[in-house]
Order: sequence, then structure tokens, then C-alpha cells
Amino acid sequence: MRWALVAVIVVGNATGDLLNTAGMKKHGEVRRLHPRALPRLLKRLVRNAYVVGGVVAMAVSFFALLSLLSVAPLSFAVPATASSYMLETILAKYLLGEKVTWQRWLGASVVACGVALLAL
Amino acid sequence: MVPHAHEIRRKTRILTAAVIVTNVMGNFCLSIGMKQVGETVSVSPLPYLHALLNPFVIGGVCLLMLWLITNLSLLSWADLSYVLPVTATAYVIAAILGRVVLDEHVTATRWAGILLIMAGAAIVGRTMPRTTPEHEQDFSEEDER
Repeated sequence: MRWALVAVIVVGNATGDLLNTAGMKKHGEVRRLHPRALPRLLKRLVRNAYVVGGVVAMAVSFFALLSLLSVAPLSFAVPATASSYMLETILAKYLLGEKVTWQRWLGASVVACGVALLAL
Repeated sequence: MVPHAHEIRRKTRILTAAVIVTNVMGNFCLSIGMKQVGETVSVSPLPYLHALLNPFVIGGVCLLMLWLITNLSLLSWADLSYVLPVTATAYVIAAILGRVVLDEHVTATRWAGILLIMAGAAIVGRTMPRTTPEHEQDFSEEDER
């Protein structure tokens, strides 16, 4: 049960982040972050299928995390989900075509270890 | 490098800070609010709606909405493999906030974790935020209907 929830969290997070990144790259660089430009940005985001899908996937992952926290301690939940840093870096390279240099591999691994340690 | 690169770095730095601050403050407000509301584990949506009457919960939800928008904006130009490790700094700020405001005890293991996250974020933060090509046409300013 625990590991099934971990899988849902990690897959949900990865799907959400990938869809959001793909959707926002399609959307194009956001140039104005003025509060007055916000309604228009929101209007375009809710019509962006990638972003809508990404947010849904993140919501699924969030509720799975809440469920996991009700059956397992934080010291199990956080390190188990820290693996998503590595998984998402791999997917960013192969699915999004990002150039993942050795600095990024190193940084992502170090961060994942750090997050795991935080909860121990 | 093209002159644009410098501007992108600056913009990335500002927005990354906004992503981190809204994330930490949003979760912080939400956790204070939910502690005031009391235990809410239910299938029925009513207790959750009731929780939405708490000002800290409202503030937390608003901040997390702002977090979503700033994070999406950052991803509109920055790589996912850049954004993820760098915004993990939010864990560090949250731990420090817990130590200072809530007087939580931070163990040696947690300090080690904090140092590792900061080191990892610093390493990735030095790479170029964007490695994928930009589309020839920029759609960001079109669509005014």
C-alpha cells in the first residue's frame, strides 16, 4: 500500500512537471508579470491542455501524498519521494530534450540526497 | 553570449526567489491555519469548506495559487532540470523558518540535508537556465480576443 502510494506520488509529480514544462514552452516566454497582465495569462493557461493536464496530475499526486502521510510517517514519505528529482531529470533530458550537463546531474543527485536526509 | 542571456539570468533569479517565497509562506500559512481548524480527514467536502473560513487557510491557498503561476511562468523559459533542484531551496527556508519561528529542533542530520540541498542548488544555479531552442514565433503577446 505504502509503495503503491509512493508510485502514484512520483509518477503524478513527474507527469505534472513534464506536462507543465511542455505546455509553458508551447505558451512562449512570459514577459510581463505585472498583476494587470495576470487575468490574461490565466485565461490562456486554462485553455492550454498541457497545463490543465499537468495541474490535474499534480493534484492527484498531492492527494496521494496526503493519504500516504496518514498511513506512513514523514520520515518514510519524504525520502521515498526524493527519487523524483532523479527521475524527472532523466525525463527532462529524453522527453523534453534539455541538455543535462554533468553539473545538473551532480546538482540533482546532491539535492535528492539532501531532501532524503531532511526527513530522517 | 547574446545580450539576452544576461537579462534571462536576472529574470530567472527574481522569479526563482518568488517561487520559493510563495511556496514556503503558502505552506506555512496553510499549516498554521489547519492546526487552528483541527483534524480534517474526511471523504465529505464539508470540513474542507469549513477550513476555508480560516484566514490563515485563505492566505495559504492564495499564496499557493501565486506559487503555481510564478512556477509556470518560470517554466515558460527555464528548463525543468534547472528549476527543480534550484527551487528545492524551499525545503531549506522551511526548515530555517521552523527553527526560528516555531522553535523546532533541527538535528545534525537535517543540517547536513540543508547543506546538501544548498550545494546542489548552487551547482545547478550556475548553469544556463535554458538549453532548449526557442520557437521562431513567440506566442506570448498574441491572442487578445
